[in-house]
Amino acid sequence: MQDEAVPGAGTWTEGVLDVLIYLVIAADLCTVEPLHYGTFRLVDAAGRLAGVLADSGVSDDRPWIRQLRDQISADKELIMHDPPAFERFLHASAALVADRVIADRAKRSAPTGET
Amino acid sequence: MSRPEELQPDDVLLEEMSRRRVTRQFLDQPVPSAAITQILRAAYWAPRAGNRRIHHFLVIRDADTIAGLRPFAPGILGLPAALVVISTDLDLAREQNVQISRDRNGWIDVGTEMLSMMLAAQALGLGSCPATSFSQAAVAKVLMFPPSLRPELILQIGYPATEPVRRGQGPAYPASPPHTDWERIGHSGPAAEHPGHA
Repeated sequence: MQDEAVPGAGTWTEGVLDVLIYLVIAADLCTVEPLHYGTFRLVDAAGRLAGVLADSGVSDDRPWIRQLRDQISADKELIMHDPPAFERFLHASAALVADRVIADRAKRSAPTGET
Repeated sequence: MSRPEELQPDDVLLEEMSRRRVTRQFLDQPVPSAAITQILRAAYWAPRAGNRRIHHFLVIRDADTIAGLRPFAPGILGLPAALVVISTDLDLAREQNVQISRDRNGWIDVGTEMLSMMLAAQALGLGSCPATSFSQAAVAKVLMFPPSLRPELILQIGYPATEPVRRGQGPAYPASPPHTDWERIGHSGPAAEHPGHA
């Protein structure tokens, strides 16, 4: 995989490294912060990783990653004022990822030439 | 939302306080130095325990520095145009006889400085958001702090990307603010305008 520059986001490797840093720091913070923050940090990290993948173009054949990034960006702050809606958003995100990955795998395992 | 009758039209500060919201997403637009200076003056005006000054304020507006700091500070969700890092200056604390390991007032003073700056930012048409979700050790290293500086809070400042919305916290002017009692526990409102003289 090429380490190509992403406008406004450094290189692909730097973007992934930022997510790695975020996860390590968030794990440390989870020892002192409110318990429900852990869920938020995980999905925020997922959104950041989806953003790196989408912006770098390495996932152009998986448009759902961009959709996931946008959905997380739009709904993650529900945790601040509507916890039940935040949980529904998490469930929907998990279902989205499962549906799309299953579809991707089926597409890739299909015999060559088959539509 | 309607304003209680007892408030006069010139109660600008009260109105601004009721309208203030945390801003997490910012426009890619620089904040002028004059505005930052005014916000720092607001922190200077903030009340402090014993009138002491043991906090240091670092202004960061360099976009690369902010982007580089962001993964170390999960509380920074967007990309603010400016940061003000409030730190305890351990040298100043020692000079002012503060027993820093036992002190209970430092955090309160961080809070008064923070809110003064947030209200000043609001008055200047700016949005702000405090972040304490960061690794103090990591942020100190990334910003190359001397051992005498301990970062306590990062205030994000910038022009709001969206209009702040009041969500899920009840009315702006509640008749009786929640979790509040008068005179003794269990009495949630004033019995009379002049208790003991009614």
